Amino acid sequence: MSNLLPNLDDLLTELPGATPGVADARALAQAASSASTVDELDQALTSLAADWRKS
Amino acid sequence: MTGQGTRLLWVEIRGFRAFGTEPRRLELDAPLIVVHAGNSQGKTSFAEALEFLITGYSSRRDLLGGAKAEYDDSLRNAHLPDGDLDVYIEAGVAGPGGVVHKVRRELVQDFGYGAECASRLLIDGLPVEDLAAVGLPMSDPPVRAPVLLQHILRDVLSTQPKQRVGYFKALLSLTDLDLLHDRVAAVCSTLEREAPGATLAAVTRLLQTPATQAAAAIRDVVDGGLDAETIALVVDVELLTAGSELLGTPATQFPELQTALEAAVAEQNEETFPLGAFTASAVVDASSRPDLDTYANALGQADRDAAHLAPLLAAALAVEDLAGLDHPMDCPICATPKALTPARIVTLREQLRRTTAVDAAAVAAGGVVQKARQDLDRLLAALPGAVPAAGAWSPEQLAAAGAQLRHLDVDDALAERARATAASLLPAADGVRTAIKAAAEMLDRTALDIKARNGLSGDLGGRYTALTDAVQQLQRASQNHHEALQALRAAVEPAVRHRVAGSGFAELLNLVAHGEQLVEDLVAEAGRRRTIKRLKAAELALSKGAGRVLDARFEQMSEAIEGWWASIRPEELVGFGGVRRRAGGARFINLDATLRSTTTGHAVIRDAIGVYSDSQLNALGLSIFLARAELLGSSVVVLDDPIPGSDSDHRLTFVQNTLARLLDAGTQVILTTFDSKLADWAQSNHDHRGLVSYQLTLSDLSAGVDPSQTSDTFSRLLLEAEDNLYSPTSRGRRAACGSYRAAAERLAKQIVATGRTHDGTMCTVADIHAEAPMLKDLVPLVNGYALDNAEKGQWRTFNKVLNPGNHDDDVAPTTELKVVRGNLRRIAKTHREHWPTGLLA
Repeated sequence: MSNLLPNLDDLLTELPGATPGVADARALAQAASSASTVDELDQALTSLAADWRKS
Repeated sequence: MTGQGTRLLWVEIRGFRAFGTEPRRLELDAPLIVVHAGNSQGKTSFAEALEFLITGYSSRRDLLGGAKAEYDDSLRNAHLPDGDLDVYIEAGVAGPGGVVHKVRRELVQDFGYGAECASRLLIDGLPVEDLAAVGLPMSDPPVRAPVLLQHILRDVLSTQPKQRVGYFKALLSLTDLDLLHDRVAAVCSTLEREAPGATLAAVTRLLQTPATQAAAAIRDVVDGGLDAETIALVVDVELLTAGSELLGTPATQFPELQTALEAAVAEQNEETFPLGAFTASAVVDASSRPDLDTYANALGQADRDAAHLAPLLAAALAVEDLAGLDHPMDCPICATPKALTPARIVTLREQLRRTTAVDAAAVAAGGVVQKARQDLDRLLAALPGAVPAAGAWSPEQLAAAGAQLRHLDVDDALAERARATAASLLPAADGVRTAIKAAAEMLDRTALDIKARNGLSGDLGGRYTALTDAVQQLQRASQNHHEALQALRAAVEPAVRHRVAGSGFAELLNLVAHGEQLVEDLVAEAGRRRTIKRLKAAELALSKGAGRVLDARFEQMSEAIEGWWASIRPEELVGFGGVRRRAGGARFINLDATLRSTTTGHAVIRDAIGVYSDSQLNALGLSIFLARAELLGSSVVVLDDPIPGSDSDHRLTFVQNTLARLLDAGTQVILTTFDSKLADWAQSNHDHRGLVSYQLTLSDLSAGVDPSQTSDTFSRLLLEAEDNLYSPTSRGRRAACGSYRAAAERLAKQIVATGRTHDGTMCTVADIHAEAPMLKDLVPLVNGYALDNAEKGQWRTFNKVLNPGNHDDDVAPTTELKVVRGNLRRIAKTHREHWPTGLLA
């Protein structure tokens, strides 16, 4: 798990269910998990949002 | 847990706050270190030095309040000489696994002049960012080190409830979830700020026209959840429908619709102001004189008479009988008898060969002349377009145009100027027309010369030069008019657009002309809005999830705080009830107090800040800090004055419960206190664990804080005396006398035992005690080792001052006892330094 976001696992545990908002929150948290800097975090989130724009 | 097992072994401080020019080293290799000092003697500087060692920062600046500038130059000792920048804290650290490292923090730049402080950190001589590698990691700000200072103790209680959330999140290391939430919000905000495509603004303009229904339908597709293909279909249908309704004729194809709308817009514009009457086409350059040099040269080389006859000879020699003539015959042209002989045919054939080149050149020259004639015709045909209609306007027409301009709020002088420049094109165009005519006539004459294989007879070059001059004159006039036209256009077009806006023609034309872009912008806008909606919903879910994580941590922390609270204030009717978010929100934190009327009674919940006394609030701040240290697994804890003077009732519970719990957990505790009784009790209760104690004094501001180790019996007795030193009653001071007398006896025995051992007779303190237990017996012995006469006198004085009689009047006042204390400290210090191996214990 990310050093930048050490509590991400706990957060993911608190995001159960399949409602669209929760599913998207989970997707954002998972995208963020590989980031080790704020720049990388921004990049991961922006990239996911760009995918959403196209879908 | 991080840092488990890490322990400070020693620390050396120089130039930091109250520590001055003398580097001061304190041995810390014990589970408990008790540092006692009066007010303003340097104990907080000591605690802050340890904070600075770990964090490179001073939390005082963030938490104590006031302006940042008030902390300028606050870290470097104010009494260091100018240019002395050697400010450092160095320490021996036994890291996880017991490996010992030397760490050093050097102050590079103090707070000041708008800048943060800066420092350099080394582990075993190598630069590092933090001390995590030796088990002393930094936590989230503002409390980044396990060092409890007074401003930290009270900050959480005095701060606004809203700010308390951040404090607790920092304590619980949960700020990373805020970071995630903030960055998601930032992505969303970036999308929200993004401007929609330009064609969507055109859709908005169309909303204000009779085509509003179509515009609304197009606008609404972005929120309809439609795919790109469906959006394109909706756009096609709506634009065609709107076009049909506006024009009053059915439109089924975009190219036709666009043409019809362009015509309608142009007509509408011209009705508003006839800008077209001022518009003229550009004047093209005149073509250059046709190149006939090849023909002229070929003609020069051939016999001109023969050349004239060349067509005739060619025709004759094409006759089969003549071509193969083998006997003389009569000439078929002039009928001269026998004039045409085979020899003459040979001669004629030679003559014809020479004139063939002239023929070829003449054919080419004829083509050139024909082309030049066509160019002139085109130039002539273009001339009317180069002259605007307004050039020939009557005064009435000009007056009418001026009135239209005024109606448009445009300066009518612009039309007058443009009309004048247009009129100047008329004579220039006539000049070109005349020059074209002259050149054309000359070309016709040239064509005849060529046809007859004659030399070129007229001045064709001169006609073309005149034509070029005339065209250039027209171009200059045209350029002049173009400038006037541009000024007129710049003023008229916006005014016309504004006047005709709302009719829908121009607005619809704009969208029809950019149909593909419109679909692209709509698809992009639909994606943008959909994504913003998803991000906002996800943001909310993340907030709720983070809130649940926070609740779980709060529950865990509440138990820990409650445990520490109970250690400080056991069996109280007022208790601690927990930390929780107010109404499940994310902005406010409540600290609950439980209030009972009996130990088993029902607890009433109230806000702790509102109902706790000062000492209870202090205990709560301490409990919160200790819970944090416990949850973070801090293996070293520094407590600066944890129990205030007003809370003397809880000294003992703190020493016996709180300190014991910390030490039992293997935490190294560095306790600084002004309270001699607290220091004394801490030592006497935990002596068996192994401890180090220090007394800090600050008598030389330049040299700085001076630590003296007081772990021995002598020092303990001095500390004990402090409890009664300031007593207003003789009974209290008599107790202080007893402690000082016992301390003097202990010191005298140590000096005598050390002196005798040094002289060659091995001896212990116990040996001297057996020989001379009382001060009066010890004074003669110790004076044999006094280092100066003053010391001898002081020993004799001790015996008198510290042995009061039974009457209250005999008890020394506080001022005299303080002199005794100072003398005892000085004698102990000088002897510790005098004897090569220190004093025997």
